[in-house]
Amino acid sequence: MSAYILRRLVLLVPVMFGVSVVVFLVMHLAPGDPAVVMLGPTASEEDVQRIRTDLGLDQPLPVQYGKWVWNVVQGDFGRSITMKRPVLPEILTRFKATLILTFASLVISTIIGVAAGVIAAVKPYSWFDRASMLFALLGVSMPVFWLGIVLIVIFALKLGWLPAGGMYSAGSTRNAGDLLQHLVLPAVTLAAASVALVARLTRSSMLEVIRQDYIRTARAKGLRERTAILRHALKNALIPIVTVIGLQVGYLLGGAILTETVFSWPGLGLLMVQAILARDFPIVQGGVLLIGATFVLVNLIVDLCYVYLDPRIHYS
Amino acid sequence: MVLDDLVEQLVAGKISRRQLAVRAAKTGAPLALLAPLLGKAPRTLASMQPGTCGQLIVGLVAEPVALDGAQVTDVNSARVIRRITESLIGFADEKAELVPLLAESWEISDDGREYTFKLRQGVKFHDGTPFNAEAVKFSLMRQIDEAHPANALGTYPFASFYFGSIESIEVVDDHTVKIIQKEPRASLPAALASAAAGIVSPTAVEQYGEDYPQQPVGTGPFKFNSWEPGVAVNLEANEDYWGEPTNLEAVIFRPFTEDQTRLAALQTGEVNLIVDLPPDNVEGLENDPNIDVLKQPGIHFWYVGLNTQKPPLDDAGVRQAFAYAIDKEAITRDVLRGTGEVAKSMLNPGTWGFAEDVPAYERDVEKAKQLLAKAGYPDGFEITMWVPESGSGMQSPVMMATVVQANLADIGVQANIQTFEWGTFLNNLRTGEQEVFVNSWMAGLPDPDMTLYPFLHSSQWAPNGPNRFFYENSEVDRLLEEARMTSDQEERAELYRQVQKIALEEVPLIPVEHQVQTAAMASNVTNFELHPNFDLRLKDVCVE
Repeated sequence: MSAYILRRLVLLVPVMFGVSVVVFLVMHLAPGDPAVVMLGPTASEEDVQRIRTDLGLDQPLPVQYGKWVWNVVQGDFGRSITMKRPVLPEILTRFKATLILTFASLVISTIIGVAAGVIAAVKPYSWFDRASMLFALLGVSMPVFWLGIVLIVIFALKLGWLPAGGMYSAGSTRNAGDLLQHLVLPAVTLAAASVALVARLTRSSMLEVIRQDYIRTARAKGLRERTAILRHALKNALIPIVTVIGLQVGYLLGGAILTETVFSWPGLGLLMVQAILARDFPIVQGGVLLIGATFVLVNLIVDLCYVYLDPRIHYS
Repeated sequence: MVLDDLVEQLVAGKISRRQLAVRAAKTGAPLALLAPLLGKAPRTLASMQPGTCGQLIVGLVAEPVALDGAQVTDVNSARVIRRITESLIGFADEKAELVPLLAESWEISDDGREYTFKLRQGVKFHDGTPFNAEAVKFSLMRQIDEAHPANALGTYPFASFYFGSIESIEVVDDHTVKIIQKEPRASLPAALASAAAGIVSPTAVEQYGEDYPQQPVGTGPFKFNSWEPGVAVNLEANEDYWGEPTNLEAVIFRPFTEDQTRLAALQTGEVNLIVDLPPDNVEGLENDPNIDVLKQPGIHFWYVGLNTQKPPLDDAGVRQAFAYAIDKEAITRDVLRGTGEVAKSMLNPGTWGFAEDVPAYERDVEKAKQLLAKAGYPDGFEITMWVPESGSGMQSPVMMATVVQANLADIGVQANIQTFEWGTFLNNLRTGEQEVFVNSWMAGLPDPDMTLYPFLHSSQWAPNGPNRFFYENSEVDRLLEEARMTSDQEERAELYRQVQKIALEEVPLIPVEHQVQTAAMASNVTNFELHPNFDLRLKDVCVE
């Protein structure tokens, strides 16, 4: 098992190398560069060339790439072109905010999604089943920015229960209660679509398992219904669900960009959008590497979960 | 009676004169009754103690990127930076007029090349470093002189656009500094009023090095306290300010990228003041008794640019036809909902040098068609129009361009819109491949040289400069050069009026509108006004 984990971690290296080449090329080959965007409408050729030289953009691409990778390998992700800050601490701070948001959404979507799916499967075609599947359909269909604004209007503006945006109140000392208040609306917004997905998938996966012989056996030997459903049916239905939840992490990290924009959540997504528009190469490249590595690691965790869920699966 | 209450509040210093007028108008009280009061309200603020005005929380459109005026080009950053650092020259309250700030006065040599500034004495930076001639020299030379020890600590986008004419800076004595230019450029004082010309503490720059933009140190009424990335920038009152200090305890800037969220944050009381209202919400907010809406045209214009080298746009008649076709009224009224003012020229009405007697090109489809026919295109033609999706100084570029497209269709010209992301758009304009394009210009500084020279002088053809129309007229070139060499403002104004007359006759670009800045504040915020230079002046603001 540990040999398998080690092998997967070693494979991270070529994957990251590929990601670094692609993101570097995409950013550097796109029209417009940081000098042009920074100077905006006032740009003179002289200024553009001077700033390009300052930033080392006048060198051949392979040289620029080599320098960047060499520095990254040594832990130096460079300095943001627009913000003038060192890249690594900046993206890590923002990434923490994104992880808090993503994790909260994941918890919401998993708990509500699995619960709703199981209940719907146990009582198919009941009013609960129909209602929850209708909500699921709505959840998938509502665009994040629209839902976010509707929630702001209801819960911040009309009811005054929750703040409209941001991660902390202005001037407040940072505490968990304040963070939680600010977290509710964006987390729910971000979770909406994935709750729906998890609920529908759980329902169909459960329906399939519930009809299996061994569930009938479990019931026949006198197990309580709750045990039969949760221990025997749900555990066997979990493999596709865990796969999808794992994929959801990627979706949520990506979907967080819109949610972060709507709620001014100071996460990596919002930073990346601004960095892409400003052609802030070091930030975009560092951010994509970080997201890429996270995605690979989450996939590894999902694969390891399979072993726990299905003893027939072995990695060697 | 409501009016009595309001007057009482005014006398007690609880509301400003402007708010009195606004609220009285809302209650339907005749303004004439108030006229004597509006003129001479008691200045209660001056007698208040520092820190008695609470803290002000401002909702910005985006987070400032960095807090060194010499290293940023975006308006959000400048709005924060200008609270902390000050320039030699500043702006008068409420209008785009230059006044002494850290310089007490200045003299110009007869040849217009040398400017000698007498500096304010007894001023200290927030870190205790004395403000003096060396600090002025340091702040500017670090941008211009590549051999300067602080030059390598940053990237300075304005080094040549604003300060390119500076040859050297001489410290005459501790409180006198002389700026020597390579050639006379009369717009130097305006450049020295920019955020890029903010005087920074040399000690702080040396101490923090490349990290200085996160810990700015200036002489302004507010000093930097802390920055929580993505969350807030916190400033606090500078109690040792050389002028009358602010009564606010602190100012907090928070970013709210999404318009509706920013608005909700104001309405829920999370922030006290927001800028850049969504045009569709302005009217509703104006009717909200708990919120005061402010409007102020800024030194900005949005235009349709025409490549004068590309047929059929190389024919001035065709370009004039375009100018007559465009319905500027409809754009400001229906798209911008009053957050834009119809533009006649590149300069704002009321600013010096503005030419009153240029053709206004009010919409006249018949005339436009005649001009097209005369130029040999009675049936119109097909052309490409480049439009950025968003960008600096842009309001609703795609919707505005769509109106332009419909207007041109009325005269038989089929304009095919091609939209680009901002960075790509700017890059493409450098190629000279453009036919028709839309863009904006946020000069912010009240000197026509900053707008007319880069736009119209033939040395400024893209990619060398912002003349992306490839416009060339030797008379215009001569007038622009002469205006740079003339120190007398009235003489310069006359030269610029001539330039506008010629250029607006030949139409390399069609000025469409000047942005009207908007802000909204909770009704307990007093003494805040928007400024034509897009700055947020907060020193005298009070939150009750």
